[in-house]
Amino acid sequence: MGSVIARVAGPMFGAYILLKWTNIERRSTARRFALIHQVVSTPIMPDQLSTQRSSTRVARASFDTPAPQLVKYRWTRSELAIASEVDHIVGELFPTHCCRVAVKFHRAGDAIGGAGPLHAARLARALGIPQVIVPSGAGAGLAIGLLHASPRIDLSVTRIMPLCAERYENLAIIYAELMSRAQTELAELGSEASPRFVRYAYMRHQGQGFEIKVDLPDGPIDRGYVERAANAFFDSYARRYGYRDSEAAIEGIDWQLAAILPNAVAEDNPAASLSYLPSSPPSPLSRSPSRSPSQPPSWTTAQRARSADGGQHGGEGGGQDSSIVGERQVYFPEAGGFVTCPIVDRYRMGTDQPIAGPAVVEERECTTVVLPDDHVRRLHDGHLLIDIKDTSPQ
Amino acid sequence: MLTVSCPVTLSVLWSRFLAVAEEMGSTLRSTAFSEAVRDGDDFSAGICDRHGRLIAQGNFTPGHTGAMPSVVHSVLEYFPAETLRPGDAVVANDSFIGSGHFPDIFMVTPVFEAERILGYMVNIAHHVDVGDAAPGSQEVAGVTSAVQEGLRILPVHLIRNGEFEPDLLRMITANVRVPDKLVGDLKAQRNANQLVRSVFARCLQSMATM
Repeated sequence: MGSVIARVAGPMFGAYILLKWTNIERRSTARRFALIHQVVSTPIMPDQLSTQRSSTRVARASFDTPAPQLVKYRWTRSELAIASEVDHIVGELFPTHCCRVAVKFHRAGDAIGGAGPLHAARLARALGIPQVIVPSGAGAGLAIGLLHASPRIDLSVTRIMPLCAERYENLAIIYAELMSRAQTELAELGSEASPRFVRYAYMRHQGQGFEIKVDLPDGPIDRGYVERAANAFFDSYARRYGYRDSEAAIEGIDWQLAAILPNAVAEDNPAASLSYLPSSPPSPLSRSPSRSPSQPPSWTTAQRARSADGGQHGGEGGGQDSSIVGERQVYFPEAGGFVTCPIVDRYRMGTDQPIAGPAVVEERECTTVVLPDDHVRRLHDGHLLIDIKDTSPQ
Repeated sequence: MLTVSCPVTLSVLWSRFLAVAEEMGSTLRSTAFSEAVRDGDDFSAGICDRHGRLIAQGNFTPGHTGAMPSVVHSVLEYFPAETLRPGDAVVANDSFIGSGHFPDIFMVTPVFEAERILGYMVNIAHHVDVGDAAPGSQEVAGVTSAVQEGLRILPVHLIRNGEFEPDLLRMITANVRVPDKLVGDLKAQRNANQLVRSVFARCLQSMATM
């Protein structure tokens, strides 16, 4: 059996998420799974976002407040409930999904998206995944992809037309119109670069109800072009359905033209876009420890020292790790409540120096949660690797 | 005899078979020419093992699949496994062996590994016309005999080595009102079965590595 890299992803925050959730309740299991990627809430960078600081206080208060007084805190409790439900549903459905796509899951999870690293470790425990990788810039993956993508304009016209030599002039007119529209839009963009033009169409045999995408050849559109376009259709059809029926008539439905501009970043220097990821934070993450004597830690320094391998954590049992820039109260169900948790600056983490959980690793794009008894370390290439302690599926 | 004792392996394997059946039906729908199949989803797809037992079915028209094993058994009575070759297919629409009515034409395609049959890809499509007293081949008023219901096809070896037998096809198309659609849908049935047979074979072969 093959293996699969699981991806736990999601956008970052919001009321938008709660609204989505309400609708999801009525949907099928499969649909809920598909939307899971959108349903995540997490406070990010509390010391950089002032609104999140208040959210932390509210979160603490909501757990200490009797139910009748929870009205004003229900938003935060809802967030936490949703986060828990997300973990539960993904954990429940993912094995089914693996079976449906006929793969067996037994390697590392890959946490991407703004909130993927928040949920990844807990999901890994539920699914029996031994390790979680949090790539560099996990929270900005889509933006990086956008920087790599070539700017393009896609134009189309719908015209049901048989593909035959007698109609080649109609096809030429269609593409002349599309080219004219493309030139107009390119002029509006003001780009001085020379675009690459690509023709494609959605075609089928006459009488069928479904089309396939066909990449059409370049060159002048004349009688000979129609034959080349037909061959392109037959080739595409044979690749998809295994048969070439050269005697059956062809018709095109949607005719399309793409004008693709060169991407200087991606084409000249594929690694350049990664330079958008900071090697150091835009502003220092360091902060003062916030725990007060009145806040009893559920996860003691001694426990942390016992759980860490080699003493490379920030606890008192090992040397002071300069990547630990503070601490705050964090709610961990695994520890039975709020615990004093070290805040780790990802940009200051040394290579291959494990830090024991519980810990919160902060960076500009996302927040990584390390559960009690798990360990996180930064690899030589900048990615984080979380070793999950208990990987037996629940 | 290959057995699967691990429930996870069994689950993965069965899900693969379901995916194969779904792909079979999706291909049939996407390449069909009649409204009944491409728009009405009046078709089904399933997989039978080498004994003709139904082991997976696609999520299409369930009413078709109940008789699927019976049809395969009937086909094998007319054409024993040792008489079949790769690329062959047998069709039948007789109500007395499993089809609900004559417009529903079954197509049974054996899957080979070398000279050995691994199983059968089976699909059934409702053809928009197979003769009868009225267009659509579903006339009931005044119809008192099966011969009045249209073209009755007992199992016939319609496809050999991937190609239609021209004589049989000519006889069939001469007795229907919209031969182009019927031939188009028969081609879609053939393509659907042929497309996924290699996938099914690979599924079985992969069991050895599980």
